[in-house]
Amino acid sequence: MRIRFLTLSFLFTVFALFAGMANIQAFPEKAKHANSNTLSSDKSFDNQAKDSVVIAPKSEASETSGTLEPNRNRGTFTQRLFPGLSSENLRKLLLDWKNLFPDPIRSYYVAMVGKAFFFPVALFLMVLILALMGNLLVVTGILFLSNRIMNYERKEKVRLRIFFEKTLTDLMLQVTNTQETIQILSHPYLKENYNLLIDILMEFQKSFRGDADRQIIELYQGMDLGQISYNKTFAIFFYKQIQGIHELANMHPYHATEMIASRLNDPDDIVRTESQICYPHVNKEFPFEFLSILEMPFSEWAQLNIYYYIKIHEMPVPSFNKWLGSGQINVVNFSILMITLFQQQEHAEQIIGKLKVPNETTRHLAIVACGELHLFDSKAVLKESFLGETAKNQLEITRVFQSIGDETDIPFLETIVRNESIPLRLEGCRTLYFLGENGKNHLERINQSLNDILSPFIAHIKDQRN
Amino acid sequence: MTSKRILVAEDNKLIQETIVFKLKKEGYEVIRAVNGKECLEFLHSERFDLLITDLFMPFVNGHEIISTVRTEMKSNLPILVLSAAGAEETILKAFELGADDYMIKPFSLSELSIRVRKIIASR
Repeated sequence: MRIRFLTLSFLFTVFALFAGMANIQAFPEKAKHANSNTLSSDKSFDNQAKDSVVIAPKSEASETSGTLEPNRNRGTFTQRLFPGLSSENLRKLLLDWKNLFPDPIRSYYVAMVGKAFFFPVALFLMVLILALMGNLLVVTGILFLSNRIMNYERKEKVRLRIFFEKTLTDLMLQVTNTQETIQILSHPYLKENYNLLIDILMEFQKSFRGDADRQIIELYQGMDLGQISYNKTFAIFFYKQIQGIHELANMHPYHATEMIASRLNDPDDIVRTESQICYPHVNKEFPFEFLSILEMPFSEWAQLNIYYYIKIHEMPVPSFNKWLGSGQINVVNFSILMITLFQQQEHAEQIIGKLKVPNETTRHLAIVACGELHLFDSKAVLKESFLGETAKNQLEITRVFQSIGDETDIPFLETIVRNESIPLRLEGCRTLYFLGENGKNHLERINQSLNDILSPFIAHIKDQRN
Repeated sequence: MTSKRILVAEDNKLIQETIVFKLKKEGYEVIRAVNGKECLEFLHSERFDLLITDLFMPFVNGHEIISTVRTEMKSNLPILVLSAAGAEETILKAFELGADDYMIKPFSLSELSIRVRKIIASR
């Protein structure tokens, strides 16, 4: 029933389109009048057709009287479009076709044909239905085709993947050599799928090292796949640019260093971060040289990755003091961190100089460095700057005295324990406690003088669980 | 002389295929398991001369497999762990549970081949 209704609606829309174009109802009153007649009889439709009018250009009479007058001289739109075809003929033709429909639907069809010729709203709805159904057909067709294409591409991709993996495995197991493999993979059809080949090469490289790694790089360079990766770095989408950078960095083609260096200050954060991370991969001799040319921020993620790369591969590190004067605050902070981590104590003076800079994070890192590197010369500066420091840095200064403090610093720690906030007092107590026997004794004396206010702190410090 | 039977438990298809081809080329009989559960099923039903296993696999991880082989099955089957996990705790745990050797990914096929030969020869 639903299918019959849809089919009828479709046909009715088509017919109504033509009918509407042929004969548009101008007066709602006239439409009402037409509608009040019995619509099921053909004779009434004939009469209504005779009375129907078209919207015509205003004649002089109509302009003065404000009424529309029928203009039968130019003919209807349908007549102009299809000379010889009148709305009456069309309606009669449509009504003649009622015999094609079964009995239950016949009257419904006749009613619809009648209404289509008299209600502009119905005409609009018909056009809308027609357009929607046409759209539905088009969309269905597109979905069907694209589904077929996607299925085909997916199967093809699987087949190619298996082929590429088998070929590369044969190369790695020395069934074939590099030249033979290049010959196999240079087939014109395969050239369109080199992106997939590069992905598989990258997977192999992640999983294997030694001879396999060398063979993969030889193959990559022998087939000039670097050009494809290089072109990716100029793609519109940032993820493709990153893919290209990553491929070049791992496969070490000739122009990787230059290309990656050109992206170190890229306005896109992710591309820039990836370039910064990949730079040490391509420039193993001077992995940190890019710090000298950085103008854009050096993200913490990039810093972490580079640090771990250097550590895992046990790469030699330079003296980071040369970047302590950089205009980029991230570079300065990174350098202080690296000096701390790699225990470069020869830069003590420059680190102590960083205790007075405006940037809070830089000062904090410098304070930590003073403790880690046991920079005893920094004590005076730390005490001097203590009161003007932020709470976080004050805590760190107090903590640092565990590493560099001695008996001469007890009065300083005592002022902290007596006067400062609870976290500072706790840290001050801890520092005094771990300063040796003198520190412990002094702490007890202070506690007694303060009527055992510090007892909970001392208990906390002594608790093995902390 | 019958060839030695090796069970390779690895969920990464690429690595698994490459290891299998390499070991078959060297004359071993190689059975593959794609996850921990399948690996245990093979271990319970068949006899092997060496188990090469990854640590992080679906259903049952490598540590549990090693523990099952050593405690439940009370077998002295040589076990070579091949994993991307390079953390000290992970490696120590594998040895404590009873692994005989540990290789970190990315790995060299030549090195794997030598280690397999050594382990099998020592038993």
